[in-house]
Amino acid sequence: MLNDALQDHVITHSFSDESGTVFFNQVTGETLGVSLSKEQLAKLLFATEIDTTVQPEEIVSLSRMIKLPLFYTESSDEF
Amino acid sequence: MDLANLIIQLFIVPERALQLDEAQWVPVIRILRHQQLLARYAEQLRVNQLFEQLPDYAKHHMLNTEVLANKQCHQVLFEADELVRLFAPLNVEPVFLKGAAYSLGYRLSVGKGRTYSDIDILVPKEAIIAVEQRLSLHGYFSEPMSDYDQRYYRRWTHEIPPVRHHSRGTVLDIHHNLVPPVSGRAPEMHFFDSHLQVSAEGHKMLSLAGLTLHSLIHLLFNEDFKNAFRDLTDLHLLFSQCTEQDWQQLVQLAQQTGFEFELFLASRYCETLLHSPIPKSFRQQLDKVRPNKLRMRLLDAMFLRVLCPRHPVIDRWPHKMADWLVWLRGHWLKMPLPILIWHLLAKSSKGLLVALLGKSYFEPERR
Amino acid sequence: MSSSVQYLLLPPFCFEVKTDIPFVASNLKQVYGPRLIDSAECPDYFVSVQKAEGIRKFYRPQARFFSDQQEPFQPLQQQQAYAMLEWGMNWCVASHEMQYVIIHAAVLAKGNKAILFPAPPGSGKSTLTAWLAFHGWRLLSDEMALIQPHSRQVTPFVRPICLKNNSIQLAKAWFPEGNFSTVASDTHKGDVIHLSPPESSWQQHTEPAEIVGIVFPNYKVDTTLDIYQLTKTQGFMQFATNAFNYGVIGTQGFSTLCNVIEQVPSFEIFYNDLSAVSEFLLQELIDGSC
Repeated sequence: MLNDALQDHVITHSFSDESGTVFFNQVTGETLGVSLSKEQLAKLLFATEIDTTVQPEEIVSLSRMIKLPLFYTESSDEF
Repeated sequence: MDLANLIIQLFIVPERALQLDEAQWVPVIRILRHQQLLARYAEQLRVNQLFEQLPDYAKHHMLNTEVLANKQCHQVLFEADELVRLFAPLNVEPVFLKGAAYSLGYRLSVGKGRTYSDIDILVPKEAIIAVEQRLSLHGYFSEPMSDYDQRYYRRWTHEIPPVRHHSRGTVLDIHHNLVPPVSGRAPEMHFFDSHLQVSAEGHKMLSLAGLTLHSLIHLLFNEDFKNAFRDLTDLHLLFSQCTEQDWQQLVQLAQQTGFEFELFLASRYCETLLHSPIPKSFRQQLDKVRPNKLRMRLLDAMFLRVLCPRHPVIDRWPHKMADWLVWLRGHWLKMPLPILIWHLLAKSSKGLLVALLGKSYFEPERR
Repeated sequence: MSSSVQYLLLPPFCFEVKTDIPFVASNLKQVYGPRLIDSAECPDYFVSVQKAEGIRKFYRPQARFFSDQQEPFQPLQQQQAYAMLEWGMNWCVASHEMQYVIIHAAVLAKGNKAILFPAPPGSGKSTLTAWLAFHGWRLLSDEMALIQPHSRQVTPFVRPICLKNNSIQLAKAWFPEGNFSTVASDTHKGDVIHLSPPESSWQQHTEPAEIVGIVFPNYKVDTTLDIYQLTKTQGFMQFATNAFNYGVIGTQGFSTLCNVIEQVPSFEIFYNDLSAVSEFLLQELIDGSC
């Protein structure tokens, strides 16, 4: 589910202690860790409105790794 | 057999690799690494299914370089996409040259295991300023360089000072011609208009004939032969992929742009040193531009030395002499006399200072 | 000026070392002892430290480092030449070796159970490393952990411990019998010295070990020992920050690090009491693991 939403060249791992998920861009080497489990990420992906608990900077970072719903990324296209 | 010859033999007859024991590989690996050819040789040994039979020492170092070459291949694809995207609003489609084009043109054997340090692109001369501005807006900045070098680049050469991406470190060389206009030999770029191709991923590059011509101009119309043997193996691989039709185009393009003589030299030395397949009919055609006997012998004496595998452990005085001669020749070709003298003076007075004060005098001490 | 050419047999690698600076040669002998040999069949890297030419021979003399014909660093003051050689050898490994996942970390072990100490400079990592190495722990590495991809196995790469500033006097007082290099003063890391690990660590320099824990050390003057267990995500991010070649080797590096973090606990510790740290490591990580 999460895998379908990954940006090109990005792979991911969610840890067994449910502390979060890490992303790795195989081309640029960029690495990102978020304290969201797979399920929480899925919720974000299939949301129909903006989750206000997620900070704008986190959205920018995350959008480099996964394809977020359009209403998250529209405002930050230049990044 | 001397080491340079051994390395040439290994290229022509990869099976020869199986006769080398571990200790014999040590200088071979060292020279190949210095000549940036380790990954290319590794690729050849794999294609010929010899790799697994090599001693551990050779495999170890070749595997390392394969990982690096592989990474570069992926990276260049990413960088190329970025550049295409970046230039789209300017209506500029960059033409990828040299190493980058070899990697992006997936059908080319010359791209496998080819390593390089910069990405070279060609853009129309009119677009240079817009391209430069757009790049600087997106994190590509030029390296600090002396005023003399800045002026020299802008005024006399076919490129602008290289720019580097601030975080990824990617270095871009941006050209508007294939040859410095100051030489009086810069071709009309429209001759290349019909020699462009687009890769499956949508990256623009020269056709096989165009790539080959650029490769040989770069090798022979030059004063710097540090990577000459690698570039000669590039040419061998390009020549080997040329069909009858590519050859026709190549010869025609060389005539149109005035580089027939360089094509003659390239095919001569590829054939002599690497046994490249040069079709007989074209060889005869190129014989028209063959110089007189004396000049031919002089050229051979220089080029057969500078185009060989090189490393300080194998260099003797004739090599150094040849280096010096081709360096002079390269400058001579590229610049009309008054500018040549000026350039050499500026360079050599600095050279003298470096000899006197030590290289470090000119570089900030890092702490 | 005559140059000496010798070889360092430092499994898994072998270096040809050339220098025309006499104190570099004597430091090599002091620090590496019998690992410094006169001939070797298959050197992997060809390094040299040479006096800079020109007027710089006489005025504030400098040294230059070469890996074969390549010069990765700016010249340094000549009195720093030995430290430069040590860093240059690290550079060779970090920029060429792609068959290990290489982490900037010290590695110490009991038997075949290893603990990784990844840490930025200034965390007191090297002082801790030196203390542990001379108190019954086996040193596998001071700066670079070589992890076999897709496993928890660390290959030793035994090298001297690089001590900085205040810890130099401390170490000299603790281990008066230790084999120390001369001091390189005023480097980008401050004053540094290289200390050869105990003979027992050298003796076992071909025996790999399994990672059983990762500890991020922070020396803190007023704290005996505070221990925080990290979540796996936190541990991973700190771990990856210290990886040298992970961006280059790509997927293999990423999944190896994920795999290690999944299998072993990671801790951040704040300490000033080294024996308390040792005690904690033994109880929590060495005896606790199977």
